[in-house]
Amino acid sequence: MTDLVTDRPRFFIDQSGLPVSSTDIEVSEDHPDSVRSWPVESASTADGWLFANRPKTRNLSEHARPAVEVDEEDLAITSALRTADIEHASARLKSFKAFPDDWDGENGMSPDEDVIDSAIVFLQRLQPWHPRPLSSLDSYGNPVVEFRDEETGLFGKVRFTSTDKVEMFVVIGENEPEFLEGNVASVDVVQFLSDQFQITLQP
Amino acid sequence: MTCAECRALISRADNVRRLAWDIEAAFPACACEAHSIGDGSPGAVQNPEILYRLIASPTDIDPLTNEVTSTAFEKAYENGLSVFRECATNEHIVALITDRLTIKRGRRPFPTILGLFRIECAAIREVTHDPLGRAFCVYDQTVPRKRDATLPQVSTHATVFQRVPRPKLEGRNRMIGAANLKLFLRLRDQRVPVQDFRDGLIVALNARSLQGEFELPD
Repeated sequence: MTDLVTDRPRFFIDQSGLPVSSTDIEVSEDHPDSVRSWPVESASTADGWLFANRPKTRNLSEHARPAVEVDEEDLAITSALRTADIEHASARLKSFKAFPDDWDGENGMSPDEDVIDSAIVFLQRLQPWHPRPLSSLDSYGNPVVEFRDEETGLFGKVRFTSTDKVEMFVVIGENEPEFLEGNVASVDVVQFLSDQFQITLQP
Repeated sequence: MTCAECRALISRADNVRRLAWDIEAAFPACACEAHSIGDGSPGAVQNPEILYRLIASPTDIDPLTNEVTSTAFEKAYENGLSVFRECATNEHIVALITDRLTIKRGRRPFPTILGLFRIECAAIREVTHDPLGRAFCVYDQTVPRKRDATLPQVSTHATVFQRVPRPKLEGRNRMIGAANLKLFLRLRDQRVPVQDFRDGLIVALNARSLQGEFELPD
């Protein structure tokens, strides 16, 4: 499934609604409904897609949502709504920039505008199919981007502690929260976002 | 650890951000719950008691979606998460909310109470996180009044303190954040309508705040 002209991987939307590189996919001839995707180190492709470890082997008949014919109009509406969520979360972060010290009446610290800009850049790299973002500010003035997916029970948060450092938590349902902190551009962070949040950032 | 020692530390008003850390360092594992701490308090907070948490910060509730964010409960690992007890009189609640809505001269916008959460004390005390065990303590702490510190403290105020591991402990940030996230997940579904609370008591106070009544004089 490699593009013969350019020899570059092509990208598909899998049945979970997530982008998958063609080079990650193998369809078994014996079991055509079984799709194997194997780990790939985080990488940026020539097309500009950034991807990390995809989920492990999955049997579509057992674990994946069945393929459904999607009404293009519905898809467009969903996409527009999610884009609106991203824009709303960005606008809210922008509005926090003007907060002075004690903005909450409880000694909240004024945010650093550059850190807020980093969080906005992060938001702008999301795609409409990613979990729904919501933005906030902690009492130290750090911007926080939260993610919710009502269907899977996912709740995640990304706290920007500086322009390039993040602290991330994610929990699904009643499970124990997963955690990672690091540089927002690091392989570990990109992979954690992909594996845990189901978020593959645009470059 | 005596009642007086617990009171001296937990009633301290100078340590704005790290009171939860200091409490855990001095009296670990919620040891002071054995004592009544607050001025005029009706007693230590009991497990079946109902507690209420007010939200007034504009960042903690999204005005468009009306959803609460997890930052709303992070005070628990700083200087404590203020709550009030169901036994609070209307007068107590008016005093606490008036303080919460009080702003410095010229500060805008006028704040309002945006959200209210109702939870049994036991539901907070039963949250655990490895390797700490219990993750939150609930004390009948009372605090000085913001508008006038000479006024008597509100006796039915209480505070939720998160147990914060000592600095430099490996995995400390993970422990703090993960335990706090559990509190958020527990509290976010316990929201009650502000307008229904005690015959519109909070709604009336919000209206007074929007009229500028709680702005401090020069």
